[in-house]
Amino acid sequence: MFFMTASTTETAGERVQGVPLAEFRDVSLRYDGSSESTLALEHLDLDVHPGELLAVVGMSGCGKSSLLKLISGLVLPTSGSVKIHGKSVTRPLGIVGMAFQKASLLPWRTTLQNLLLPTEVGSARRNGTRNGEAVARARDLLATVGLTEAENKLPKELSGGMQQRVSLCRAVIHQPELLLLDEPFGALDAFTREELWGVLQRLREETGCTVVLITHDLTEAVFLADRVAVMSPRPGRIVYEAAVPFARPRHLDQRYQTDFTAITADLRHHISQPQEVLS
Amino acid sequence: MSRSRRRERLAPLITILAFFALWEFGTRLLDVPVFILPKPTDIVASMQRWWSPLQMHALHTLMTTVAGFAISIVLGSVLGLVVGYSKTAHQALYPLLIGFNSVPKVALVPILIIWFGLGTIPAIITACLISFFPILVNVATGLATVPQELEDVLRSLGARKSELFIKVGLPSSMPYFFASLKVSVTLAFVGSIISETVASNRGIGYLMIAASGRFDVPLVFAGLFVIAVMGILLYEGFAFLERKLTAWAYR
Repeated sequence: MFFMTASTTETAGERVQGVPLAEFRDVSLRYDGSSESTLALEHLDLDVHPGELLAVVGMSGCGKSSLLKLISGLVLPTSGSVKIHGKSVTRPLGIVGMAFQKASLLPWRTTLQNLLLPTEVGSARRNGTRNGEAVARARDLLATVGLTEAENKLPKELSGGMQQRVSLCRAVIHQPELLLLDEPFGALDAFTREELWGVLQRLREETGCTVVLITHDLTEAVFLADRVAVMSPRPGRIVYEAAVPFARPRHLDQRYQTDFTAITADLRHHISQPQEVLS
Repeated sequence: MSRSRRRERLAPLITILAFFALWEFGTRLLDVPVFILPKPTDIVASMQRWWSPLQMHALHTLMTTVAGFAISIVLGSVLGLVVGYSKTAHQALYPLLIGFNSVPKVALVPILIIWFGLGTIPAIITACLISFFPILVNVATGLATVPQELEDVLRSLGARKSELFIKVGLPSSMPYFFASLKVSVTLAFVGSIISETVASNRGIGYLMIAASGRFDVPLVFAGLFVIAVMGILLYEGFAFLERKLTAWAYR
């Protein structure tokens, strides 16, 4: 399985021209609240190509998280279509891994046991992932993110940054095709965040999975992504896309170079004045 | 052991000793009659004199309490799980349960006596009725604390509701469950003694009523002592279990 995902990356270049891994076509999403319904997304079009890291940026409350719920199959669109590998998503497909701003680890489980949680439920359990295999993979991941020492520690013994590393590893332990990250570094201090950017880059090289990263930090978006999509305020839609051409892995100093800041400035412009872009 | 740790350990002992010393000398100094407030030494003497009946009645009360509490653990956790698991069950059952809980249990004892006669059974039932509600509320609350993100993570992998319940909900409700046990067990104790004082011919509650009928005030206090000691032991026992079994929840 490990090798299968790795080979996906190698063929990523060819697949970009082919079928996107995930595609949104004219998607609208309406939440029915108790008193009123809110339109979270409207006429949203977006492709996620195999092997890429796509960052989605936008103001808070613009429906970025709804995007992830749609890809994962937790929520179905009100209209339009969400397709994975060309097939409409009608239920959770079990091909995604997720991490959020809160690490939300289980406090009674050690780091290793927390990592293994996704292999104990749902399709992974029913497909009979062998335990020894999963444990070996978990240890590999812990080594990748520099947490080998913390294998048998409880979450309360870990710092916020370490917990978030565990959460990232948990999101990829079952070898998902698609890694969905919802502001995973939002609650960390600036230096820990920089560290974790490095961790995410390493994890991505290691697993080769496709990543959708939701963030409101433009530097983070440009630093990590191959492509950045800008969402309008609610109801959300994609109003702008920018490619980030820099080679990987990237280095923190690149953030201050002019070609880098040119991209962030351009993106910032499209977030502050969505109306101009729409017209 | 550091000095501050030792002071922490000794502090409760010193308070208790000071309490009894004050009591002893206060009653001696003011010459309080024994049938109003006996001195601690009178009470100890009475405990020695009546040791074997005290022991017998205390043991009976303990068994009544444990029996009632055992039922209440089952009843409380089952109802708590149902109410915490299903929103519909929560809405359907909660008003009834709250109404039931707000009825003072002493008021139920006469009815229980009509149904079951004098003795042990009303005491067991009272102990159970008075102590199951905190368990229920805590288990239900514990189940409701599962973070939404984690639910999303697992549901996106195709986890069933039952898997979420077993892997996440149930264990996360454990600290709440054990915290409620130590509170509830003292309540169960209150329940069985209430019932014994109203209508029974055995148990520490009965012993105290009988003693007060004879104006044997030192023996009434001896009963109170025994109750207090048993209460502390039960509380500490469950607090110990809590610390052992859900250590992960404490910093």
